[in-house]
Amino acid sequence: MSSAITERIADICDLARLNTELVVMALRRGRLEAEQINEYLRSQEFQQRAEVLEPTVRAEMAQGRPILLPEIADALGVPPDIAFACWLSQFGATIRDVVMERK
Amino acid sequence: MLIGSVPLKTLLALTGINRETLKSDRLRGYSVAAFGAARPVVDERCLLVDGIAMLIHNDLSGTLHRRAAAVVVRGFWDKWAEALARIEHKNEPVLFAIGQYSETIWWAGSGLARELPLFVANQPPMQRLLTVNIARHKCNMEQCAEKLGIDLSTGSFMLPPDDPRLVSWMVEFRRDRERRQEMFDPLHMKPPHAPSARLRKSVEEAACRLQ
Repeated sequence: MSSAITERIADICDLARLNTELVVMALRRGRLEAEQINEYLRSQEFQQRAEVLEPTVRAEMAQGRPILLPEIADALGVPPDIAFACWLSQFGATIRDVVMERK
Repeated sequence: MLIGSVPLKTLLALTGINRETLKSDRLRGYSVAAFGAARPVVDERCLLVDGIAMLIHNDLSGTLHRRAAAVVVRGFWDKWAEALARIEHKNEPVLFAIGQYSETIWWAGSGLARELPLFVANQPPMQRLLTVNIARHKCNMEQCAEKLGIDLSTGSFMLPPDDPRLVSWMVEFRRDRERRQEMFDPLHMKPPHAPSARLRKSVEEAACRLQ
C-alpha cells in the first residue's frame, strides 16, 4: 500500500476524531452550564465578538484555509463544540473546514 | 506476504523515537512491542509493527502516565493490531480508542472511524476518551522510509485480518487476557505474559528482513 492511500485513510480518521471530540465535549456539559451558554449566546457581548470575528473567518474559508477551532472558540468566549455548531456552521463550515491544532 | 522486520536502528529512524527514550522505557519497565511484549519477539530484529506499538505508546503518553500507556499498548495489542491489519489490507479507516467511564471502569476497542462519534454519543459521558490514529503513524513511517530510501514494499506491517496465523495469535492472546482480568484498569492492571515459544516461532516464520 502506498503512503498516499494510507494518508487518505489517516485524514478520514482525523475527521472522525475531531467529530468525536466535539461530541464528547457536548456530552460532558451539565444542564446548568448549557443554560449559561445559551444565555451568553443571546448576549450583546457575544454578538459583538462574533461581528468582529466574522470577516476573518469568512476570508479564511474563502481561501480554503483550515479554521483553528480553539482559537475561534476563545475569541467568541464559548467552548469549541458550541463555536462550531452554533456559529461557524451558519457560514457553511463543515467538520472538514476546522482543525483543533495546526499541523 | 510476510511481516517486515528491520534492525532497531532503522526502526528508530522510521519512527523518530529517540534511543535514550527507548532505553529509559526499558529500564523502567515501560517499553512496548507488538504481541503484548515489552521487547520485539523476533530476536535481534524489530518488526515494523513494533514501531507502531512504540508510536501508540508515545501518543497515549501525552495524556496517560507512561506506565499506564504501556499497559494499554501491551494489554490490548490485539485491538490495535486488528485496526492496523484492516487499514493495511482492507483500506478501512479504523481507529483504536480507549475510554474511561469512572475511576475503575475503562474500555478499549477498535472500529470504523465514521462510527465512533455515534458510538460515543450513545454511551454515558466519559471522563476520558483517547483515540489513536494508527493510519497516521503508519503513514508517517512510510513517508520516512521513502525519504530514507528504505523499501518497505516486500514486507507488510501486519498480516491480513483473516490470516489464520494472525487469528491464532489473537486467540492465544485473548485467552490469556481473559484469564488475567475481568476489569480493565491501566493504572493497576498487570502486563501480559511474555509470548509463548510457539507464538515467537510462528511470528519468526511470518517475518521477513527488509534490509
